Amino acid sequence: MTWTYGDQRASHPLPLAVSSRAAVGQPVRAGDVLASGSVLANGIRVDGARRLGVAPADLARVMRVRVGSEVEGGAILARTGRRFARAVSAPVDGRVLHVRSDGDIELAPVVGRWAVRSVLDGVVTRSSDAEVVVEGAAWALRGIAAYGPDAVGELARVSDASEELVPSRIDVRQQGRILIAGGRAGAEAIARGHACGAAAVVAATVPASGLRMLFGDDVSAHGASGPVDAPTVLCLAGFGTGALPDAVFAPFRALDGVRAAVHTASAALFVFAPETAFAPAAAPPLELAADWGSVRAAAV
Amino acid sequence: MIATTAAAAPVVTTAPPLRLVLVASPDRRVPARAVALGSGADVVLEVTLGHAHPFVELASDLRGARPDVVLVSAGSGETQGVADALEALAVACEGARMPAVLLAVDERMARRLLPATRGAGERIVDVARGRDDAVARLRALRSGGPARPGRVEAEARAHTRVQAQTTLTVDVGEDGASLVLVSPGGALTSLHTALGCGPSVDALVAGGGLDRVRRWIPRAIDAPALLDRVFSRARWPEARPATTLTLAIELALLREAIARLIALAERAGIDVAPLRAAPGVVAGGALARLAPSQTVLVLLDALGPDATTLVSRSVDATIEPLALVTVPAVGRGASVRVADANGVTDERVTRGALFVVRTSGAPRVSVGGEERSVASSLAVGVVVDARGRPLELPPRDAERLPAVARWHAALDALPSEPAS
Repeated sequence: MTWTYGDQRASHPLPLAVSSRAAVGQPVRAGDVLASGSVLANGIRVDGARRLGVAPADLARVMRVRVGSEVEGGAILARTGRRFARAVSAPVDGRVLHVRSDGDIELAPVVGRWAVRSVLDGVVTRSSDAEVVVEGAAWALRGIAAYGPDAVGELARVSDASEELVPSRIDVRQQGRILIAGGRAGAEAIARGHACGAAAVVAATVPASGLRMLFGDDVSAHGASGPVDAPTVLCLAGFGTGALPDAVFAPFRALDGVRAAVHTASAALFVFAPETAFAPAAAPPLELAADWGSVRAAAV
Repeated sequence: MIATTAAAAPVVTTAPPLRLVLVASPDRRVPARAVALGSGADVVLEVTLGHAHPFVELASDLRGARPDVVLVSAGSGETQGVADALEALAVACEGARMPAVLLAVDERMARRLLPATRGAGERIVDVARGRDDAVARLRALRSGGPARPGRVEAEARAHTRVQAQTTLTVDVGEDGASLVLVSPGGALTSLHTALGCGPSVDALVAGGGLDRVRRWIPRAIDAPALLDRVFSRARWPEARPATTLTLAIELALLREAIARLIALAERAGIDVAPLRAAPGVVAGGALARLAPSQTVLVLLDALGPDATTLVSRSVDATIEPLALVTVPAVGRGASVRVADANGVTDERVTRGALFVVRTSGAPRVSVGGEERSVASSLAVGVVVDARGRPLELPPRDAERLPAVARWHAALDALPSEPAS
């Protein structure tokens, strides 16, 4: 766990039903929308090729709407242009999700919208309906595991090195900020930060039982992206109790108020400060302490 | 002896196991699970046909599962259900590579389903009748370095050749756990899971529950502290225990890894009785790197052999005999006779007893008229286990803690901590 500056790469997996996404080569800033799409309810299967009397492979030829487009109830989905025309129309408002290999059409009502935002200042280097990849220069600090959605905000140091993050230090003035704790952050502090609108909590350690309280019993030691209404937590050193080595924590003193982002999938904190903002020192390796649940710097 | 090194950097795992999605009708779910266990694949999602799986929900689950391969096993009455699952898979894989789809269905059904696989499908024989073929096909799809199943099977065959008797190889490592039973005739029962004592240790605990691990620890420990240790342990797979307490947790996790694999085998309809009746057991992987008495106790507790068994370990391709375990039927006047270089020892056996008779040279054991001898000396000795089968732990801490501590003490499995 050491600060590094250089070209970083962040992959943003996309949910189902992408409506729009950034093109390769497009410059983006952290927080910009990379892709957006629809949240779908359970779909309806509409007779397609059979109803029109065409072969499944020929359905694409007679489709009047593209797969992925949103239609109103009654809209014509496909139509044969013969003298005795046959048509397939949408029974409800929804999105044309998929054309099956047997020629039927899956139509799903739209119940919401989603958006995926960039966690890097940089350029889109890959874009598909499955993921968008952005590459750009930033300071990076890789942690052990991260939970919740990606987050973007300004850094705010709320506890000193080795100090536990206490809930009373958090209030609504930290709305939209990424809270930095040099020691442990418990479930109460994380929940309070989320309630006060903090973008994320970055801490040396987080108790595993606290993560279960926040994210459910299925939470793993390897992190997981969560729903947008969940808190974002980046666990830098481990689980239980522990403190950040000074070589890791000291740069945060110079980075208060600087724009940053937490990338959950890679458990990384990206900080958008110039390369000259600080000189990183080599951090000692961490080790599992002999007691039940703590980590410590090997050299301490 | 306890290893005193606690330092180790978080280690990234080696080649990951195949991520497998099972799509099966209720009557074929069990043999499909058996195929998964034989291949060592990680079952990331199970879709049971006939149950309600809304299309969008299924597509979303499949996208989240990121499968490398989908195994379909269904009868002809489930054609529509399988077609729905494959269409949902196509939606889930928009913009990404379609995973391989293995169709263990009849030929007519396969003809109807193959178009829905977008060119990624192939028909294989029914998993119930052609389990070995399906396992081989799944293994062939795995890429990225040597696979655990093949390595452990090769070792297990070598163990059986050396021991000249049916031998069960129990290998628990950072990347998974394996049970491979090989008879001298070459018959093979091979079970593998990606749940080992390394990065997946948190999943091991999440699946079985924390209490299944805690019950084996001979000290009172609160659940949050144990969970912290397990989570940190998952990110430090190479970390070794530095205290008696952390060593006890390691032993408990190894027991749970074996117990989970046995439970998965039972869920997959595999008869585990032959595993427990094997006359020889060889420990491998992390299990073999423990102190001899610890290896023996973990195997006794987790595997629960129900016949006289020679327990050995394999270190650097050398098999070291550790203990001859006898499981006497406890009745009035039950006793065990052990003859070795020092003479003959008669031990009375009471219900619930677990003790070791230290031996010198090649011992011979007589239990209830049955005699068994070993050609070489044993690192631990003759272990008499009369705790009954299946082994049941007292549910209340007040009874369980002394019982588990007594078992550890009987084999001298945990060193006493230095007085502070």
